[in-house]
Amino acid sequence: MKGLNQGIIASIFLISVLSFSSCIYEPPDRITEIRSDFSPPDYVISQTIDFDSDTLYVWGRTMFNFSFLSSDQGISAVTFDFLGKNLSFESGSGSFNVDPAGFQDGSYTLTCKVFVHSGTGSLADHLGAEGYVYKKVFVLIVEGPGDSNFGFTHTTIENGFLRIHWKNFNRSYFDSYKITVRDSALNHFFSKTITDANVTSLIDSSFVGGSVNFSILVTCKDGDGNSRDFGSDEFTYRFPVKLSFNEEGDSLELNWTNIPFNHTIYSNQVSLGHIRSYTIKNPGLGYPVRYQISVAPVVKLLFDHQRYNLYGDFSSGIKSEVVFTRMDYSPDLDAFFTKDPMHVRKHDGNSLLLLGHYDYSWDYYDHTCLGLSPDKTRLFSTENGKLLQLNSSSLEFLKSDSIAPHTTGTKKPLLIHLLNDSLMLFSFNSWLTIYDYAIRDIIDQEPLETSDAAPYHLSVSSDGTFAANCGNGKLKVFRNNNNASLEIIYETSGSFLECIFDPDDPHNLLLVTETENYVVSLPGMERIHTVPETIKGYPVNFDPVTNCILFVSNRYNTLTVYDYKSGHIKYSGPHHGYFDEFYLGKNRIFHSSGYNIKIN
Amino acid sequence: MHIRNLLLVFFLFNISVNGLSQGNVFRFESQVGTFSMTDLKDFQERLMPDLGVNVEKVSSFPPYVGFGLSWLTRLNQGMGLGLTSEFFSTGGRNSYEDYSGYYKFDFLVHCFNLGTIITFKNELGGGQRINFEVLQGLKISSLTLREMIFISEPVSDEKLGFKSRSWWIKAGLRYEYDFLDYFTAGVFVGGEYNIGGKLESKENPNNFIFKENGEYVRINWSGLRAGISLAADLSILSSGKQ
Repeated sequence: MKGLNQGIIASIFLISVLSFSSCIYEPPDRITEIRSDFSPPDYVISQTIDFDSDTLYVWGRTMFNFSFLSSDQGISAVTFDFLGKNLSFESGSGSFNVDPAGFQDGSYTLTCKVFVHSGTGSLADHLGAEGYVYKKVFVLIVEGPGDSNFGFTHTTIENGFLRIHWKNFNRSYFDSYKITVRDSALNHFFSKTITDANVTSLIDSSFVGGSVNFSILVTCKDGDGNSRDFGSDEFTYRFPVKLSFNEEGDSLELNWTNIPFNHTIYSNQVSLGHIRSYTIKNPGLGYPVRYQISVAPVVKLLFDHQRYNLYGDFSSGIKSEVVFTRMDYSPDLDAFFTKDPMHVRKHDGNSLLLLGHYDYSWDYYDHTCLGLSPDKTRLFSTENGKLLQLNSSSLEFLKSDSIAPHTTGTKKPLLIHLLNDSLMLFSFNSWLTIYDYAIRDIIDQEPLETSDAAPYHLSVSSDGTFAANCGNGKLKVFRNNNNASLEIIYETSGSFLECIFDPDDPHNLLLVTETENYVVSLPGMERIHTVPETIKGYPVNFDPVTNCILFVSNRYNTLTVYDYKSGHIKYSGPHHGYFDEFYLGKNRIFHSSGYNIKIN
Repeated sequence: MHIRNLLLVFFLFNISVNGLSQGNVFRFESQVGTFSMTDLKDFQERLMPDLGVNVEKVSSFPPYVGFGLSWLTRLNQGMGLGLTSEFFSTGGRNSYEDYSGYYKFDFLVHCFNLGTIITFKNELGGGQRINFEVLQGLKISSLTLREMIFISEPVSDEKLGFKSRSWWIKAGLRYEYDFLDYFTAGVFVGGEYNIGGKLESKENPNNFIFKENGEYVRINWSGLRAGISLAADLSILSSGKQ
């Protein structure tokens, strides 16, 4: 019994020891007492992303900046959830990129959450687990540039001004249209930037004609606020204004295309107002004369010379390919033969088309000699001091010989007149010779008054019996004695300027002095006709067909075709050339430029 | 391996001393200990978080009660030998708690001491005596780091475990009083010295905790010990002697 008591006492002792403490140390807790009631901030605003907007647009990798501001409590975090991404920021400001790569165009959502501290200072507050969440769900439109079908559409003319139109580019990320205008006629350039997408036209108030190029560049703003070029288009508007001429006798009217744009016409810096045409003196036959009018816009440009200049070339007559220095018409072949330092050509007598040609590099001794053989099968000419023989039909080359090779010095040919199959009256340097071109030897020769004889200074009668020469005021008349010798049958001094044989009558010689023009008959030199003083100018040649004489006056700028046998003037008209640039053949007056007038 | 060797020593020790013993005593005791824990206190300081709230060090390895079991055989001339085992625990906590939740970072440590006892008895008469005791042996320590965040619901709860082995020695005086024939009540006062042990990760061996200067963080249980004990003379109980 006693042992039992001892065991009970021992157990009580043991229990008291065990109850003294627990077995394993457990650290104590300490609770901080803070107020748990809190209220939301008065406002949370976005300083960058527009929270009032429901839609955000992206069309490329776009960066959005955000900056949120709370009235009282601080912002603990901001999250964005879009296109499978969840971005979290531990502050109220920052930026993020939306990259729609891999997503089709369409409508998506972008959820923004702004977490605001409760302001209690509690652990949950500091760790962001207590507070307020402001949530905004945006519609996120992914819209790539795609095919915008953008560009210029048309032009209109309104109140005399040109207006260019383009398609509306009404996209939310539109930034501007930049229109560049390049008016090549006025050398005028300007550009304009338009930031209103609904403005789809522009007036070019300076355009008056010609060509103007419009280009448009559309820029869009990406999410970073940077401008990006979206697309461009170009359009060239052309309104060419052509100058035309209306010849009425001595007057020439200049007309031009009706210009629908406001403008002022200038000629030689003189304002002519808003006219459609004006009249000037007809320049007549000759090299083409260039005329100019200027069309100025009514708006003031930077420089006065910024005008649309119109040019037109005019000469009376018809343009042909018959250009020449020396020209002869052959009634037997009904062909015109021309010569200049680089070629001999043959043209059809009616159509004036080119029938044949013989070309060479350059004839330094060219004096435009042309002559047909008596049977008209060969055409004789010269090239660089050599006697040239061509097929008169095709102008195919036949032969080329040195001129009088036994004589020394340079041969400068002046005239060829074939007498038979071996002889010709041939003039070179200051000599007139009977020349045997078969043996290339001179049969006889007589000195001339000048070594620079033009066709109207040295002339041979059509049958080769007589030759006449003027120079230094003197006149010499030679007779060909049976193709064996040359004889001076008449020589006088005075004021002789020209001498031309009538091709229709080998005895009639037209003489030109400083005071009068008249025709004498050989060999007696009797005057048979005096050209009236009303015929102005110097004679150039007889028409081999009509036998009329072409008179050219440089003083009065007149061309006169005169039939001395009937005493009639067949034609009179203006010109603006030099008298040796003309030729009368087969009732046409030719100018060396190729223009010619047919005489009715 | 160490445990098996220790049991073998215990077995051989038991056989050898039984031959010489005049009585066997089983003793249970409870002691309050103070603990040095210098490195771990610094480590606790380093792990103070910045959460925006006032996280405090609410506990930092305070004195705490430990328990011990000893088996002792009394030899001639008042000397005794025996085996002993002890368990001590303490810990630290960095904590903040309010109505919305709490944050806790616990540093929980405990140790098992296994060793031998040698006592020298001085009888005072009337069933009272004073013993001088020396204990020493192997110390197996454990550190558990646990961080918890709870806001309405558990937010995070992470644990890491570390272990350490070292040597300890304790010495002190024990006053005993016999009662009820076979029981002895006692009071002990003394101190323990401990070589601090390196803390090695349980999950990742060869990973240790280091100070900022690169030295090992060591767990150190050195400190004062005081407590009460209750012993039973097993030889009297087993013989039924009055």
